[in-house]
Amino acid sequence: MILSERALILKNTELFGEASLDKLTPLAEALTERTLKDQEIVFPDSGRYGTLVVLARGKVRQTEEGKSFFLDQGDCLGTISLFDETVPRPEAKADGEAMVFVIDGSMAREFIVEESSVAESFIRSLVRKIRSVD
Amino acid sequence: MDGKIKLLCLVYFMVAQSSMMARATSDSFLLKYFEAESIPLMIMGAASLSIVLAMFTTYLCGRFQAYGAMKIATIGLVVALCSIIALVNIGEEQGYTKSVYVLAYMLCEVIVILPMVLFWGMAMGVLDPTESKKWMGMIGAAGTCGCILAGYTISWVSKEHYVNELSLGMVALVLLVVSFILMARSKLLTIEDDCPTPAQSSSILRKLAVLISSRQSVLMTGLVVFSAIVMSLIDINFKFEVRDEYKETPAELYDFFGQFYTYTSIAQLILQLLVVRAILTRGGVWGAISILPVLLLFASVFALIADWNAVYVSKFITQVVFFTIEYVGLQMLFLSVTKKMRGQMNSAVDGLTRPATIAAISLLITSTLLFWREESVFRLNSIIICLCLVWLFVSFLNYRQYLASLIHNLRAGRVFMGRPIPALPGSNISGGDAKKEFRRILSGALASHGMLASLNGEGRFHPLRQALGNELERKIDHMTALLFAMDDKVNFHRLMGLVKSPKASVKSEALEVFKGVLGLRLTDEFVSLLQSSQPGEGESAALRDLIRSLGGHDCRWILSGLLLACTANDYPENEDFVSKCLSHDDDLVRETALQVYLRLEADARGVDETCRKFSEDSSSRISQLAQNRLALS
Repeated sequence: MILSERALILKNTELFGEASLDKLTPLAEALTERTLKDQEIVFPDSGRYGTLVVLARGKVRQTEEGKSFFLDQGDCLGTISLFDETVPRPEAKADGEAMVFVIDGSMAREFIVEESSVAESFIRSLVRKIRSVD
Repeated sequence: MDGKIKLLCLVYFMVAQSSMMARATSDSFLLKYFEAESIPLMIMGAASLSIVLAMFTTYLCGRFQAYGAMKIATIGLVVALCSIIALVNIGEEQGYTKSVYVLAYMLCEVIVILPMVLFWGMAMGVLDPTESKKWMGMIGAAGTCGCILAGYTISWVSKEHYVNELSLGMVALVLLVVSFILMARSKLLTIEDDCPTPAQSSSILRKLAVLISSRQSVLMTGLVVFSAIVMSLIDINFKFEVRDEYKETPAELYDFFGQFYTYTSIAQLILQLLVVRAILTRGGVWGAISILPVLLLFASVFALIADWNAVYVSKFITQVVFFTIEYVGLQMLFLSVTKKMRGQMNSAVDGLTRPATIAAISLLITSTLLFWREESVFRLNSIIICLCLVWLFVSFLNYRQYLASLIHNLRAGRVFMGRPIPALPGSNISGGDAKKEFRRILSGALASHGMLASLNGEGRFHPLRQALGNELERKIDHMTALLFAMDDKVNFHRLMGLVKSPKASVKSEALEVFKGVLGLRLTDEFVSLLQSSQPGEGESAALRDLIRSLGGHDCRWILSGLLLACTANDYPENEDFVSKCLSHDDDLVRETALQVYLRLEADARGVDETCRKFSEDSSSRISQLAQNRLALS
């Protein structure tokens, strides 16, 4: 995928939506694209902890405490484990063919801390998660 | 229109009616029964009485709120009027009229001001800033209708034998009805306490000390002082002129004043229906408090140039503009203080300062009577010009203070919660240059916003929409940085959030601050950019037309957005644009153009040739893309 498409996909996510395209460019340049086959695991055992995964194309089914739900293009996985490596990685499998962007955890963390608008989106998503647990 | 507004309209209709009847009655008493030398002294006496009553009502406002004070004041005035009517009647029969007329005149002068001041104190307490801006014109128009009716009533009464008793009786009757209405509708007009009032706050001296110690109340006092000085000068000289005019036929004075106030009220009504709302919503507080000194300034300058006695015109202007615009502007200044303080401040600043100034000016005129009777055109107009200039300056200071109070109330002062003031791209800009630059960026942002709104939700335009949105955000950030360069004491980040607030009063206060910094037109345009633009529903312009208008843009994301919108159908007619982008300086644009070219170009030989050229591109991403394609072919 070319750089502009990557940046535009990142810009389309809730997490990075408030950041400018120019600021997203280094992130888009550094990320790794991964194509997943149907039922392929998003976080394989060999995968590193503390990576952020952005769903660029297709669908992913995530399972949490016995409940499963679908993630669509622009959704992110592994946001919480960016700041706490003891949090278990979510169980997620591709539903049909999908493409994900894998962003290095330290880079994503740095980006969130530097960009206040992204940090706000991150906090908002955390609050939603906490409320959903309640 | 809710019940509260209807009630305020009705009450103000009657209050204004009683005030105008009292005005015509007192003017007629003054000019009919007293000599020219006594006129300023009588005015001073009435003003002094108003001061005493204003102090008393300030105390009443603190203890019973403006509503309670108004209820007590109207009942008290009705009782006093009934007694005066009896005294006038008996006095005329028994021949001791002079002292009774003095009392009647004093009471009428009190009725002219006191219920009006209390009414506005009460209205400001129950209205929020948005309601005020929306309905003040309407309430004012109701009052003007009351004034027109009052003028006709006095003209009609002037033909009767018992003209003095009848005119006073009419005033008493109207005030009596007001009292009944106030008693019957207490729930709608009482302000609910935000917090319990401490016992010691009922001390009038303590309250006055608090009012004087605040910069805002001092400035407002200054505003009232200058407006009162100018208007008193005009009023007293107007009375001299009218007295000279009707020296031979004093019986016609009732009719003259009845007609004069009818015509001024009709002019007020026309102004209220056609102009006031526009001035208040478009010009804001600054427009409202500066229009009267500006008009008087022009009238006086014209009078000086033409060597013409402008006192009738000036009186007409003050009569028409003061209650319709200037007074409303003054009330809007009170909106930046807490609700409970408004009634007290209104009563103390306006109700106390205005009569005190009138008293002082009257005394001054009495002691310098000859000065005003000789070369009156030159002297009066020159003094009015100087005073109006100072008045305008004080109005400006008041406006700045009003904005500062709004910023304080909105907590949008210089506290950035650790967030740095945004740096301007490029060199430091300040003051006028920043505004010029702001205007330039704004016109570009408006163009992007318009383009964004014209694109429909079609999928292929999504990258272009994102790019235009991104460009708009970048421009808004730049403009925000310029706002900080214009005024670094305001937290514009917070204000921009407040402009989107669902609470109308907060939104309007934030907008008022923006208007103070940017002016009206720029504020309207800038705020329109903060509203999110939804995809258009109709047909988008053809890609060819979009490329024609945006193809030369210096934003690489917009060029990429245009390229990504290109489909096989569009490609033949936009081939030139793609080729142009293939030789663009920016890597991102070149890469996108190459991707689109590889996807859509049918000429295989041409593609291979291009890929060979790009396989040695300075950008590794582009060379990789070209090499991959060459490997495939």
